Amino acid sequence: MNEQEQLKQLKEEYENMTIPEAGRERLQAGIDRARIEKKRAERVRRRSAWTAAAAAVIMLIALPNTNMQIAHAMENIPVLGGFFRLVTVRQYNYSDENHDAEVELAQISYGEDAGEGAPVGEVAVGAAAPEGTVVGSVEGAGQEDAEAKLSEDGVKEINQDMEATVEELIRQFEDTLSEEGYHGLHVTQEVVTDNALYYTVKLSVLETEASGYEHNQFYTIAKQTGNVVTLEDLFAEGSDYISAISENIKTQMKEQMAADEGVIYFLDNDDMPEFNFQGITEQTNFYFNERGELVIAFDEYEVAPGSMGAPEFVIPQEVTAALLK
Amino acid sequence: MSDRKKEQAVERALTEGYEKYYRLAYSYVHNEADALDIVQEAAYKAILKSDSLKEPQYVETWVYRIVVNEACSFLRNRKESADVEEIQAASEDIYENIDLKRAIENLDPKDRAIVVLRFFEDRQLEEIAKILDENLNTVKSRLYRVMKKLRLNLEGSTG
Repeated sequence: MNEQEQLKQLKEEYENMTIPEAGRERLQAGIDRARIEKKRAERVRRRSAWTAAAAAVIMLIALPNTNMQIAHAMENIPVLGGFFRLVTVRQYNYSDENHDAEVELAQISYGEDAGEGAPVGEVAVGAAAPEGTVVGSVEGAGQEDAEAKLSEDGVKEINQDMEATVEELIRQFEDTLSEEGYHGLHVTQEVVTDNALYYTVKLSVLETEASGYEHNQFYTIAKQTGNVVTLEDLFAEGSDYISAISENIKTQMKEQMAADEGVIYFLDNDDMPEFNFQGITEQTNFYFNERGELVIAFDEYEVAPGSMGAPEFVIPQEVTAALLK
Repeated sequence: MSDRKKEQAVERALTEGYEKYYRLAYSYVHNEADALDIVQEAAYKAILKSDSLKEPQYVETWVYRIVVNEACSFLRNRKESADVEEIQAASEDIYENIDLKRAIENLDPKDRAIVVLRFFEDRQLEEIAKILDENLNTVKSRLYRVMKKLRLNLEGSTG
């Protein structure tokens, strides 16, 4: 047999090669792993931009706090004499065969109690809240004015971030209008915490293509100062709240997985060790539930496969009590 | 094309072309387990880097290149234990046409890709050049050299 004939036969062998069907799953696993990594990177990018802004606000207020007179004045104002509310300022809806968007952009507004009538947490659909006019000032001495002004910065910072986030999502959605295949975008904002100390707004985003991707951002304002609060602001300096909370979450994950086979978290998983949940960070999302317990909130894919949605863990008070400020 | 659309195009190319990519990978390593590793890793890298796909109309070519690169780096990594591997490969595959088969296997990875893509996959030289990220003349002269080495008839094979 000459070389040409041999080659022809080799080609036949090549074409008739047995293709293992299991390989399709392996291929999909490679795709999924890359997806998760990209989403993680994207989330870290978004969040670090946000926390940089939040850190800037905290820096600003740190200075006046060192002034004894102002610190004293602040003690006399246990809670700002007004209320926070969430006002919808923009709605965006789009719908055709393959596209569906329902987006709501709300902004936090701060007003004084006297007679404005809107109870805390009410969402006034369609009302306009031009920026800059939403924050009232506290009557009284100069120091108190200074403090009220500071609270405006926290609200403003959060409002700007929510607006920028929502606008970027709408822009991305509009990019998909020319594409085939389904694209959905649902954005809502709601007040999840409104107690004596904190006011927290949850911005929820559900992006849907072949599968959905749910992610949330929680914005918390400390009512006593008007400042943006991140997880680390809650705890006494030097306390190892990260380990305490992370260990508690790991225990809860293990318990849930032991109790129900359908529950899966990325924990002690040898197949994808790089995704295993290691612990929370200073910037992990949180809010307080109605019982005053700390709730740690993760995005979809962050600590579990997509089938688990966006998991939340209620941290028992005995875990956090000794560490809180 | 948006990054998201690129990612979708790459995913489609991967799932629809799975059999081609598996065959190509297998032709390098001659065993299922390694070929599957290569395919999975190539799929991972293709999605991870899908933003860098510059010419969406060549998405298939682009994925081929990733598979070839993955296969080549796989071979490089196991070169240290080359002797053992060679014995293994020889014992796993029983081919009638052992001479030509051997000769192809002894080619360097790029030349091997040219042979597989040209003769088994019937790809045009322009496309092979794109896959290997070489200019067309380089690929042409490589192909001539390879065919001479394999004592193949040059007529009608340079597409």
